[in-house]
Amino acid sequence: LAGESDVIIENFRPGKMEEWKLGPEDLERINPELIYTRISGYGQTGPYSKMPGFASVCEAVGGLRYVNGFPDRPSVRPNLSMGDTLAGLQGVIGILLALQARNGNKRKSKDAPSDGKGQVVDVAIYESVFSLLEGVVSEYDGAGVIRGPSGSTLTGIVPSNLYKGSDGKDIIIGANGDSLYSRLLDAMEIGKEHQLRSHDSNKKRVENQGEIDEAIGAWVAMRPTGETLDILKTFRIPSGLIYSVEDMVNDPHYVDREMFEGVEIPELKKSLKIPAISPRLSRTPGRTVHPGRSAPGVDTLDVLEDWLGLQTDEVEAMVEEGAVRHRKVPQ
Amino acid sequence: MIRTYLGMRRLALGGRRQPNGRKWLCSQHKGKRPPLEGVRVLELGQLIAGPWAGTVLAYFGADVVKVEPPNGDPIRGWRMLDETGTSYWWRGHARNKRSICVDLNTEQGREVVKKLAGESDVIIENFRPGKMEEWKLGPEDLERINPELIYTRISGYGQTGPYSKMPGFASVCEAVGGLRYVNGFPDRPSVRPNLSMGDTLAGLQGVIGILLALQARNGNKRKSKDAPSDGKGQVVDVAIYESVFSLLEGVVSEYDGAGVIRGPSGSTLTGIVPSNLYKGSDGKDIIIGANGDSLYSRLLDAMEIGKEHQLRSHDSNKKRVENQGEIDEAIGAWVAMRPTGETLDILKTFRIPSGLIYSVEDMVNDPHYVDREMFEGVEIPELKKSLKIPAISPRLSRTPGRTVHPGRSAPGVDTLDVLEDWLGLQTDEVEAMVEEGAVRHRKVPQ
Repeated sequence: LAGESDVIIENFRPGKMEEWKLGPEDLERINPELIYTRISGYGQTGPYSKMPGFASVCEAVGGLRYVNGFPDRPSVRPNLSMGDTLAGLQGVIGILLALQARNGNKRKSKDAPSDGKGQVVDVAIYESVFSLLEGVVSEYDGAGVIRGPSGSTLTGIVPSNLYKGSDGKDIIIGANGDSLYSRLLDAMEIGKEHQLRSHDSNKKRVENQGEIDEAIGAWVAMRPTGETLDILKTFRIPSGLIYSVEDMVNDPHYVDREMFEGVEIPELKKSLKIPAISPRLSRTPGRTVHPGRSAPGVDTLDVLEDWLGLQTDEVEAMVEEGAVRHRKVPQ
Repeated sequence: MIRTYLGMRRLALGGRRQPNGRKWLCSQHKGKRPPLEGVRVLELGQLIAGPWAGTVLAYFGADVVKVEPPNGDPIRGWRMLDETGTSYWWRGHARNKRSICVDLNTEQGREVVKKLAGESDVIIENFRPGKMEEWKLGPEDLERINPELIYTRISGYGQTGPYSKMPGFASVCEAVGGLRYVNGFPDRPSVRPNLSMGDTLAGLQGVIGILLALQARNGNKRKSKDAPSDGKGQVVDVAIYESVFSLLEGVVSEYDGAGVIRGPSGSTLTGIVPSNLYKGSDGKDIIIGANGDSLYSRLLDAMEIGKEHQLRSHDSNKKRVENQGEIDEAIGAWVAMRPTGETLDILKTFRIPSGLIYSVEDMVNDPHYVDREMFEGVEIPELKKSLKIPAISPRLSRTPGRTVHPGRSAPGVDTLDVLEDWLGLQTDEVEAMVEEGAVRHRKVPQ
């Protein structure tokens, strides 16, 4: 099957595919065009390569945990397998880059050559997490600054924080720009001569963060968050609620953007919402064809015929040997 | 013809040669060509989201031309600055890109950008939705002159929908996208990761969208079976809130199917036990993930728990979830008995996934990070010193990405080169545009 494929993806521990004689060198011999994609905790090389890679540990090694939390509490783990999902995205990027290299670029004015060869894409969960760190490395190396956790704010950017309304709901407000901040003070009906007006640069706002956050917090606490949101929208101040999935499913923008796809689960005789996958392409969009096979092996016969030209009796023989299994779908 | 050849040769050498003639190529990339060689990208973004897509593409070999306003991209002056007033962030963020300086508020400037888009594979913009149309540089305007163009738009909420025109700030979009709700301790305000995560994720989505559109346009070539292409471009619509939403794995279907609303889980992952932080005698936190039956059993072996002990009876994830408090307390007590380094060594012997919470200082000194060449040393000519910037993932064996230069120190140093290279303009024609105020050109001191 790998001999007939463009891409292979594996996430066994590094070395396992080689043990099975299905490693990159084995498969390159039969299919030099193959793009061999390997996803692991720490990558295929290096001293930690053979260590079991769990997302929770890799998120910490990758630097995300250290900057996620309140300084006086243990660091927070996002309640998601974020390292895994990020590694999956890196895999997609690597595969598409390798396809581009193999296929070449076609433009009317100037084609770029391709060599028709495959290669190995090596994705590490900890490196996929590390890829989120923007300026952290160069700021450390250049200025000696170690970025740490910042609670509910972003350090060096003021005001950008959470505030609680009279109904107990949190609202995020991001007014960290000179004209934005001025407009926010207008929205809060702060007089032109007020002390708060004097913090007219990010530097000054950072120095007076406590005073600013306290004033905004007091203003927000005076009414339900929905009303505050409406006021801020009129003044075009970036703001929003902290959406739970329940909020998302009922939100008019999410619905208009078709972010939830309804799929039929035959066995359940009911439909289920699953998320659309980004990004959005205008001419060649993605789409959901089916909501996952309900049992392993329902396509064994079809695929072996489609990719390898095998006949039903040849596949039955493999089933007898115990090499493959085929699951018939009840009509 | 000769001029074009010289332009292409300069391009093949990775853009303008720096005054001291040095190139910055990682040793492992010598002799290898990057995958996006020959792909042209015109970047009209500022700050993080749009430009990050450009950065990744430039790392992997695309000719990314960054259009900067007369005062340059504001991120040149964000956060920590070096002695010349350029941010350290800029050096990783703007690497490899060529910089031209255009005043988009002039008609002549917009005309230049339109012509450049006519000669490009990709355009990236992250203005508020509608702005490019006002400038007559929208998808329909550019499709007329270049139907192959892949028009990539990155915004807070996307090009359509009721929130489309709202200003998109990463902090707000991360909340709308569902990340904030599940990030924190239930008894505290939700945590904001100290990163512009929404922006970076949107940049990655932009890269994926562009590469998918290139694939659609170029077609698939395989010996056994070529897939057709139609040679046409299209619009890629990336929204920051959707890029954050893309991390939510099973959250939506678990809500719709079982009525469960996933919420914050402190330092653990709900429904997976044990997977938590524990503090050693030296005050350092260690993460342990032993959330599997044989892993859990091995962890108890490492902790020298007897075979008859109560803890051994929690031999399924379901039982461990029911007894999470007892398990976490036992592990916490065991970890607290010695410095974290010693506990790490014990756990490594028993092959239990575990690790420290790495700060950037830990990473820079870690032998695995170093072996994997995750830090690239670049020379900053004005500073006469070198700086570490991060390597960009993923790793490709035959056509790897690489850093060619650490970001242009001023906007517009490539204006002359790019206008000659892409549009065939002569120096005097460019000088005329400079006179009009449409573009600026910065000469690099030798």
